[in-house]
Amino acid sequence: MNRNIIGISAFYHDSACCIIQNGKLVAAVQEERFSRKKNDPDLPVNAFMYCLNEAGISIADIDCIAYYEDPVKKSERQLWSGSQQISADSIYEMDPKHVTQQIRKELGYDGPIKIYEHHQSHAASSFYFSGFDSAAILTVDGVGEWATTTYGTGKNNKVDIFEEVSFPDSLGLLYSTITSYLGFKVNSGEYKVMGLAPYGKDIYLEQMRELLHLEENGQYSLNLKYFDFLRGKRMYSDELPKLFGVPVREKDSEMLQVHMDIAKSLQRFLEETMIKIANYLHAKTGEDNLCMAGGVALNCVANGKILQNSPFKKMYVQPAANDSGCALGAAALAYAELYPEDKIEPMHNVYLGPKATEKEIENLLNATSLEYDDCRTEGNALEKVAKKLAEGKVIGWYNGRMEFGPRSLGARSILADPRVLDMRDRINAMVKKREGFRPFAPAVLEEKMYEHFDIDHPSPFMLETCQVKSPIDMPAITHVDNSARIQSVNDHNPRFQKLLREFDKLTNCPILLNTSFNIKDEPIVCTPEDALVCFITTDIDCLVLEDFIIDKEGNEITMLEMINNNFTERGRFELNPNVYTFI
Amino acid sequence: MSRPSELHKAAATDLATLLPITEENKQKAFDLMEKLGYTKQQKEEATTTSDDPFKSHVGIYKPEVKDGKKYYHRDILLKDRWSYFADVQSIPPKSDKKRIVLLGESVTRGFLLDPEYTPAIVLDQLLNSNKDKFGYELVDLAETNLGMAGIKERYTQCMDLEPDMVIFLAGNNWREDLLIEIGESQDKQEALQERIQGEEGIAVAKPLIETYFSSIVDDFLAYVGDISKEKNVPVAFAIPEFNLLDCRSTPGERVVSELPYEKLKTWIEAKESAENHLASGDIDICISEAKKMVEIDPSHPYGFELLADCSIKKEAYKEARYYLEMARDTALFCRTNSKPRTFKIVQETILAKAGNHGIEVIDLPAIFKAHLEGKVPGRDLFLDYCHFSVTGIQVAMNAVYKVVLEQFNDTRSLHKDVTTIVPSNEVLALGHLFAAIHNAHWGQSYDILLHHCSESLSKWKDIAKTMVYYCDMISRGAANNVCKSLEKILEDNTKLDRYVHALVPARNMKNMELELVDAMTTVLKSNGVDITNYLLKIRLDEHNIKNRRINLLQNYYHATSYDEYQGQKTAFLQARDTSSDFFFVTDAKSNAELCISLRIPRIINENDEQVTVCVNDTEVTKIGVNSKWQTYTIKVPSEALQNGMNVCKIKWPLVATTKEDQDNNSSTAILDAAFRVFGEICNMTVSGM
Repeated sequence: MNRNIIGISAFYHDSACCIIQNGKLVAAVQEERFSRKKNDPDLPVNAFMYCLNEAGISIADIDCIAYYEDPVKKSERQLWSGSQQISADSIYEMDPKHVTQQIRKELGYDGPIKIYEHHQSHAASSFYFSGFDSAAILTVDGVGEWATTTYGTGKNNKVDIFEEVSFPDSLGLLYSTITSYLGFKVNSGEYKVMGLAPYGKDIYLEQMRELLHLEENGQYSLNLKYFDFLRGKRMYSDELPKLFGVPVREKDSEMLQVHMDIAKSLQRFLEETMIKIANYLHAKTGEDNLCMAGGVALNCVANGKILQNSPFKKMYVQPAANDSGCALGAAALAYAELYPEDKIEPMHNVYLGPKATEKEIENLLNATSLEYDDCRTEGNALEKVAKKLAEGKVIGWYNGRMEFGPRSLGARSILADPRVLDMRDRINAMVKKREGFRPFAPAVLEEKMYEHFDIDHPSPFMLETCQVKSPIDMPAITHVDNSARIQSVNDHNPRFQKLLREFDKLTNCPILLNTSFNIKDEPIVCTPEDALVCFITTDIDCLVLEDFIIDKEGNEITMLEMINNNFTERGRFELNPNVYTFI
Repeated sequence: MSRPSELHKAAATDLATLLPITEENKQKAFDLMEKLGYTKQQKEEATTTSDDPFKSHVGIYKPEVKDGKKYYHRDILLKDRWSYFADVQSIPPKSDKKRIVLLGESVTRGFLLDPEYTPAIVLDQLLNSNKDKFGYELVDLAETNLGMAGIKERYTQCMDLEPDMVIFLAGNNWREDLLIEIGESQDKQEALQERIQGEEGIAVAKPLIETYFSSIVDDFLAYVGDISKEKNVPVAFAIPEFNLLDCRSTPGERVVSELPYEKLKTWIEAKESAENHLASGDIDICISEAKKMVEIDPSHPYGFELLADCSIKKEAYKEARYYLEMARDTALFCRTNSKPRTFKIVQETILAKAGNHGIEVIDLPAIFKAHLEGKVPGRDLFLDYCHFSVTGIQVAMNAVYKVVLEQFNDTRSLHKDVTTIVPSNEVLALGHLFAAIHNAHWGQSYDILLHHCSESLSKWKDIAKTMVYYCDMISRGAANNVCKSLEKILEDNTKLDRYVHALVPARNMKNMELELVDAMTTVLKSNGVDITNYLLKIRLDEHNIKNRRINLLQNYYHATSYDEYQGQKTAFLQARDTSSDFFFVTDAKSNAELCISLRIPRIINENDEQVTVCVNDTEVTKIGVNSKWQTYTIKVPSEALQNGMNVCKIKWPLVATTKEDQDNNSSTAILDAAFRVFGEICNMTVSGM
C-alpha cells in the first residue's frame, strides 16, 4: 500500500505543495506558477491538485498533510511584537485554527494534519533530501514563528534543533532592510543586492557591525534603533541613512558608487557572520556535513565562502531554500515520524513540476498563426537549437517537468551563448527588463566544469559561486569580480545535457548562459502557453517547446503581441514591496 | 524602533492560546490585550497624504488653461481607462450653450453599440435639431463599470465643467456598494447571520438587505441633492430598467438553497413536476407546482421564472412582470457574481425619495412599459441584462430629451423623430454578435443566442467570417489570446477595441460555449455556410479522448458560463444542483473509461446512497456514495458514445446532511451556510482505449 504525505507552506509568501510517496519526492510546485501571482501566499489549491494527479492518487489516499509552521506560536510572536499592523480589532479576527480549517474546507481533506515549526521545516527540507546520514543544520531567514536562525543536527532519520536566535534579531531582516534602503523590493530584491556587491568596496563594514552584534553561542542581536519593521510600513528607521551618511535610494533612481559600497559591505558582513556562526555550529556538533536552508541560504556567494572558511567538508543547500521549500521539510518530518523505518530518498534534481505532452504542444501551435519546425521525426531539435545558440540567438527553452524552487535549471530557461560580448545587455533589454549590473548564470556540462571554473564539486542547483578560470572569454556570465554562479548539468536533465554537448561540439564551449524564463515581476513560465506568451511579448529570438522550434524570424507577430500586451491579465499581484511579510 | 518587552512574552503566549476570542474568554483576552498595549481606541497614525496628481481631473480628462480658458483633454497617463469613457478627445471651455452633463455607467455608454452609437449621441441630435432658442452642448462623462462611489466622485468633479444640468442614468452597479457596506459592518453581518439561523433559509434576510440598500440609495440621493442645491445645478435621475423577459437566471444563480431535508425534497419534486407540466402545456399544474417552489424558497429565481412563463402564456403581463422582478431581485442573495441590474428596492427608493432632495425623476421602467403597451420589456429594448438596444436607447433618450426641454422652458414646436437616429448596419451587426457572445458568457438560453446571431447576420453578411473564426477559436483548447482565429477577427473588424476583452476570457475560464457555437452554426447554415464537419474535425483533433486522459474538472470541460459561486472556493468541484454535466469528445470507435472520486459531505445516516452516471442521457451505471471520498473506474461502452461531443451527467441523490460548520473567520460563511452542496468530485477523468 502506498504511503502518501502531502507538505504545504502557505499564508505567508511563496506558498507551495509537495507529495512524498513511498519515501520519494514525486512532485513539488509553487502555487504562483499556476495562479500567475508572483509570490502567491494563498493556500496552494492548484499545486495540491497537481501533486495528487502526478502521484496518481485521490484525496482519500492521503495519509497525512503536514503544514510548515505553527500558527499558535506565530500568533504569539505577532502579538508580542506590538506591530502596528495589529490592532485590537484584528486580534478579534485572529484564529490560529484557520489554517487547519482552510486545509479541510478548501482541499476537502479530513485526515490527520500535522503541524511543524517553520525552522524545523526548513532544517528538515535540507537534511532529509541531502543524502547525508548525519549533518549539522543551519537555517537562516527573516523570521518564522519566533526563530530567525537555528542550529541543529540531523542523524538517525531525525532532526534536532538545539539553539535558536529569536525575533526581532534576524540576519534575514538585516539583509532585507538594507535591500529596501538601497531602493529594491523586500522579499525579491535581495538577489539584486548580492549581484550589486562586487561593484563596490567594503568601506562600510564598521557601520554594518553597528547594526548587528555577534554574541556567544551563535547568538546575535540587531541594534534596533536603525530598524523600523515592526511598524509594518518600512524596514529602516531615519537613523539608518544617518549611520551611512547616505540618503535612502529612491526606487529606479541612479545607482551610485556609495550604493555599491554599501551592498559590498553588507555582503561581506553577511559572509563574515555566516562563517562565524557556521564555525560555532561545527564546534558544537563536530559534523563534517553542513545542511543549510532558509532564504539567506539562497545567498550563493556566502555559501561558497562558508564552505571555504569553515571546517565543514561537504555542504548541501536545499534548492528551494526559501519558504516554498518548507513544504518539503514538513512533509519529510511527517514521513519520518509516521514511518521511522523508511528512509527518504535524496533529492537528485528539482524537476518536480508539470510538463506538457507532445500532443498538447502540437495542438497549441496549430491553434496559432505561427510557423514552426516539428523536429520529432528527424530527432534533430537539439542540433538545430545548438546552432541557433552559436549564431547568437536567444532561446526560450521549455523542457520536461518544471523546476521546483526559485531557480531555472534547464527546464524553463532562457538560454544564450555566454561568449557574446553584449549578450547580457541584450537579454536585459529584450526580456528581463532588469538592472544591467546583474550577471547571468552559466550552465556547464558537469564532465567539463573543472576546466572552466575553480570549484572541486558539482553544483547542480546554482547555489554556489566560484571563480571563472576558463580560457574562453564569457562576459555574459562572468561577474565584475570574475565570479560566476554556476549550475553543473549531468544526466538528471539528459536533454539539457545533450544540448550543452551539441553546443560544445559546435563551439568548444560547454557552457550556456541560463536565466529564468519569465518577464520581470511575473512568475517563471509553467505551461507551453505561458512560454508562448512570454516569447510573443518579448524579443526572444526563438522558442523551443520540446521538439518544436518557433523562430521570431519569418513569423509576423504584431497582432499577437498587441493582443497579449493589452488584453490579458498579467502581473497585477504584488506583495508589499516595502516591508517583510510579518502578518 | 524599540525592542518589545521580554516581560510581555508570557502575555503574548497566553493571548495566542486564547485565540480565537470567544464570549467566554473575552474579558481575559481584553486584559491581556491591554497589557500588550492593544486597545480599542488605538490612534490611527497620521497619514501623510501625497499630492494627488489627478485631483483636478474630471474622470480621464485633465484641465489645461489656454488663453485664459479651461480645456480638458484626455490624460495619456490614464490611457488604460480611455475605452471606459466616451471616445471624445477633449471637452472645450464652457460656451453660451446650455451645458448638459450625462453621468452614468455602461448602460449610459451604450455598451455593445458604443462608441458609434450611444445615448449621448442620440440625445445630442435630439437637442440640437429644430432648436429655435439656444443650443445645447452635451458632455458625456458616463464610464463603464462605474459604481455608486465612483459616480459620486464624477458628479463632484463635473461641477468644474459649469454644467447647467446634470443627468444621471445609473444604478445597475450598486449591488457592489451594498456588499461593501455590509462587508465593512460587523453589526450588519451579525444581524444577517442571526436572521438565517432558522429553517427558512436565506430568503428571510431579504427585508433586512433591502433596508440596508434603501438606506445607501437615500444617502446617495441626499449627497447629490446637497451639491445640486449648493451649486444651483438642476439634476434629473433616469431610473434604469432590467431585461425582465429575456435575461433569466444563470446556472450559478440557480444554486439550490440549504433547506431542511423535507422542504428541499418537496422543492425538487415541485421543480421537476413544474418543468414537465410546462413542457406538456399543463399551465395550471405548472403554476401550482411553481408556487410551491417560491413558497418554500423565495430566494430562488427559478420558481418565479416558471410562474412568469405561465403568466405570459396566459397574456397576464402584470403578473409576469411581478414574477420576473422577483426573480431578478434574487440576485440580492449573492449566489453568484450576477451581472449588473437595478433592483425593485432601488427603483422604489429613488421614486420615493428623489423629490425630497430636489431631484427630478425619469421613470424609465414606466416609460418602457408605456412604450410596450403594458408588456414586459425584453429583447426589443435590450441587448443583454441591462444594456439597451437601439430602440431602448431611443425611447430612453426621448424621455430624457423632454425633461431637458422642460427644464429650460424650451418650447420648440418641431422635434426630430428619434427613430430616425440609427447606427450603421455594421455597428448593428457587431452589436448583436457581441450581445450573443456576452449573453452566452453569462449563461443565457440558446433561444436568445440564436436571436442575436440571426439579427447580426441579417444586418451585415460580412459578419459570417467573424462567426466562423469565433467558432474555430472557442473549439480549441488553447487560450484565445494566442489563437490565429482571434487575430483574424481583429484584422477583419477594426471597431472592436472596446470589446476585445469579451474575446479573451480570464485565465482558465474558457469553456466550450456549446450553445453559442450551435447558434452560430445554425445561423451560418441557414445562410449557406455549413461548418459542422469543420468543427467536428477541430474538436476531434483537439479533445479526442483516444489514447489520452482528459481531466473533466478543468473549466473547459464542464463550465457553461462565466458566473461563479461567491462562497468558499475549493480545490475540488462542489455540485450545487441536483446534477452535474461534463463534456468530452470522442470518435466513438471504442469504449471509454471514466474515473471518478466523489463524496457527499456530512451525511447524517450513511445508507446505500447511489449516484447515477449517464452518458448522452443513457444510464451507464449507479455507484455508491457516502461522506468519504470513494474512487470508481467505469467502462462506458462505445454504443453509448457518439462521434463528436458527448455529455456525461452525474445525478446526485438527495440525502439528509448536517449543516456545515461555521468558520467565523471566513468572509464567505454566510453564503456557505445558505446554499446546498449535493455532492463533491475531487477527480474525474475520461480516456479512450
